[in-house]
Formats: sequence, structure tokens, C-alpha cells
Amino acid sequence: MDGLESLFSNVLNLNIKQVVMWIIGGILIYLAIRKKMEPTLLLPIGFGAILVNLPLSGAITQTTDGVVQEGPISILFNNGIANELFPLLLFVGIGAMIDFGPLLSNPKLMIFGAAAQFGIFFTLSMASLFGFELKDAASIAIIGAADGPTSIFVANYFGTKYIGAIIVAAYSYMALVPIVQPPVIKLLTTKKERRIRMEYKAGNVSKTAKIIFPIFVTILTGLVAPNAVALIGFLMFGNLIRECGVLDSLSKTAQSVLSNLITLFLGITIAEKMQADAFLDPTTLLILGLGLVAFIFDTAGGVLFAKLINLFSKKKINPMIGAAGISAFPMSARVVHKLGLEEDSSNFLLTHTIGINVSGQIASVIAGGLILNLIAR
Amino acid sequence: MKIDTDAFLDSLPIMGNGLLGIFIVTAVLIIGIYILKALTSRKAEAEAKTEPAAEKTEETAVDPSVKKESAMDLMKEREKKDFLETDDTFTISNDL
Repeated sequence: MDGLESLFSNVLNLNIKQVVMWIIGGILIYLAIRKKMEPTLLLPIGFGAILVNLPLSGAITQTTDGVVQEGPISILFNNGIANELFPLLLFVGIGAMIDFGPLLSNPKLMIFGAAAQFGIFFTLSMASLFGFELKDAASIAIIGAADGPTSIFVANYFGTKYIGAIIVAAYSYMALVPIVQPPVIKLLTTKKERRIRMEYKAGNVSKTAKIIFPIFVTILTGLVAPNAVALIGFLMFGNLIRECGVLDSLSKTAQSVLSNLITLFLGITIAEKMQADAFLDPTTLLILGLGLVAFIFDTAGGVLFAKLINLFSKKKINPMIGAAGISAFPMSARVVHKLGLEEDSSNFLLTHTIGINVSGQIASVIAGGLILNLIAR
Repeated sequence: MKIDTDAFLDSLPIMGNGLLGIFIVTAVLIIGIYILKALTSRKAEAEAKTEPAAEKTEETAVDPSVKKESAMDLMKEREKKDFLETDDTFTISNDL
């Protein structure tokens, strides 16, 4: 009988908060499998949320009677995320996946990538208004970058205690681009504006330009925002591998094997910060809300900036393309393109939106770097 | 949760500087890209001349009766196929 009691004694350590985290984990797994929302991340995060919230879970570091027993997820967190290694390695893979050709053939569209970062800075002020410390506000605001690795990097740099909620919000909203963006775009534009056609002139971009571009961006960003040079540097390193033409094998490895491997551990490692006591806090809900604000204002910033340009320009641009300036690639480009087709089945915006979308990828990293520079750790 | 208007007001200059900063850096990037393109334009033209020629030869060899289409039409078709018929799950999974 005593044996049976000791067998189930750990059940008595279970508390309601941990059960709530199991439910949250279950919801994330459901969204990943049934709704196909960012399955590569939400599924491991969901499973990890259950794993770390088992009473006295050996997956995370526990101190029992003064004895520290290290858990593998805590070890992975300290060696992969706390030192910013995983997001950086992931950026090599992302850089290898991106073709900057559309951006290079029409560089002026890059300005929309900058405009669509408005939500980040707006949310920084909003989070400050709600009483978050400046470094926490900055970490929350970066959710609007719609860029997982940058969110992890910035949140980790400032050592915010809200890192779990921030990462979950960043990746969840990225998956919700097709739901969040269309209503905002439609609210800010008229049917006539959405039907504006844009001429596309395919410019020739030499291989040399494609090779020099990542080096140029790295140097420039490094000079302006040295704290972000690792982020942009790894992104551009991945792109250089892709474009150089002599490292095809490395490029393919970065695009598939490296990215998959890091993603495999990233999701479950993030769960280290989803322990019930730290995660189940009313502020988590507020962070999720502020993340949504950041996303909405990023979209609005891009659209309104395009409308502003239209006030002064003879050649009108379709203001919807401004919304593609967020970093969620290629969902945002596709969402805007499809909205264009809904209004006019022969309105082909994709070539413009793709260029703006990749510029959003660069702009979000620059925005992250500027935040690191402007706010003291 | 408290409403902290002082902190909000203190954050406004950061918002202003951040937005200004990102537009300045982007403007420099745009100028840099134009310079880069100007410096490499000859090479780009040469590459563009060689590529369609090669494609044309290949196309004719396969089907001589193939309908003549503009480069833009071909590009639209290709990109439509790539982006609209792509399985969302796969694409989203690649967006990390």
C-alpha cells in the first residue's frame, strides 16, 4: 500500500495552474494540427508547455532539498536561446531562403518596409502607458516585427521575464496574418483604391549586385545599429551563401536541414519559459493584446504611408501593397495579392508585394537593432 | 496594471527617433542599391541577353509551334503557379 502511495505521491504536487497550462498546450497542438497554424513551432511549443508543467518535471532544472537537478530543456534554453544562438542560426537558413531579386529590381518600394514598422514603435509607447518598464515595453513591441528570431533576440537581450508570452504571441500572430491583415486593409482603403493597377517594369539585376547586396546591408546596418549586426549579419550570410553560386550544397543545407534542426529544438526549448507560475499572469493577456496592436498598426502604417504618397504622386499606387511591408514572408505578400485579385481578377500585385515583403524582413531587423541602440539594457 | 502617462510621454522621443532612424537607414539602403545597380548594369544587361536566348532555343527545340508570349506573361504565369498553388502549410512552415 505504501508502495502505491509513493507511486502516486507526485500527483499531489499537481496544481490548477499546471492543468491550465496543459490546456493551453493542447490548444496550441490543436491549432498546429487541425488549423495548420505554424505547425513547426506551435506543435513543439504546445507539447513543451505540457512537458514543463508536469509536477517536478525532470525536463527542467529542479532544486529538491538543496540539490540541483539539471533538466535538458533548461540546458537547451541556456545554451541555445539565452545566448541567442538558435535565432541567429535560424537566420542563416532564412537568409538562404530569401530571393532579394524583386527588391533589387525596384528598390524604392523598400520604403514601405520601413513604414510598416510603425506598429513596433507605437506599441512601445502603448506598453509604456500600461506601466511596463521600458525594456519590457521594447521587448513586447517587437512582436509587431512579425519576425520570430528578432523577437527572441530582442526579448532575450533585455532579459525580460515575459519572453515566453512574447515568443508565443510573435509566432501565433505570424500565422494569423491572413486573418488580421485583410480587415485592417479594407477598413483603410476604398474599393476604388484597392482596384488600382500598378505597372511592373522588370529590371535586370546582375549576379554581382545580388552578391554585393548582403555585404552592403551588413556593413550599413552594422554601422548604424551595431547591436543588431549579428542578426542582420547571419541573415545576410545565409543570403550570400545562396547568391554566390559556388556553395549550392551549403545553401540547400541551410535552407532545409539547418532550419529544420533548429526549429525542431527551438519550439520545445521556448517552453522553458512557459512554466505555469511565470506564464499564467494577467500581464500575459495584456502582452498578447499589445502584440495584436503592434500587428494592426504595422499594417495600418504601411497602408497609410502608401495613401500619403498617393496625395503627392501623379502615378497612383495601390495602397494595399504597403501592408506587405511586415516581415511575415511570404504570407503577407500573398494576402495582399489575393485581396487585389478579389477586387479585380486581372490585377496582378504579387511582383510588387514580394519586393516589399522581403524589404520588411530587413526593416524589421533594423527596427530591432534601433530599439537595442535607443534603449539601455 | 497602472496607466503611466509619464512613461508614455518619455517613450515618445524613442518612438520618434526609431521611426526617423528606420527611414534614414532605408533611404541610404535604397540609394546604395541604385548605385550598386548602376555600377553593375552592364553586367546585368549582358546576363539578360544571354539568358533569354538560351531559353528561346530550348523552347523552340521542344515545341516549335509554341505561342509567343512576353517575358512579363511568362513571369506572371510562373509566379502565379508558385505562390497561389503552393500548399500553405508548407510555405508557412518555411517562414520561421
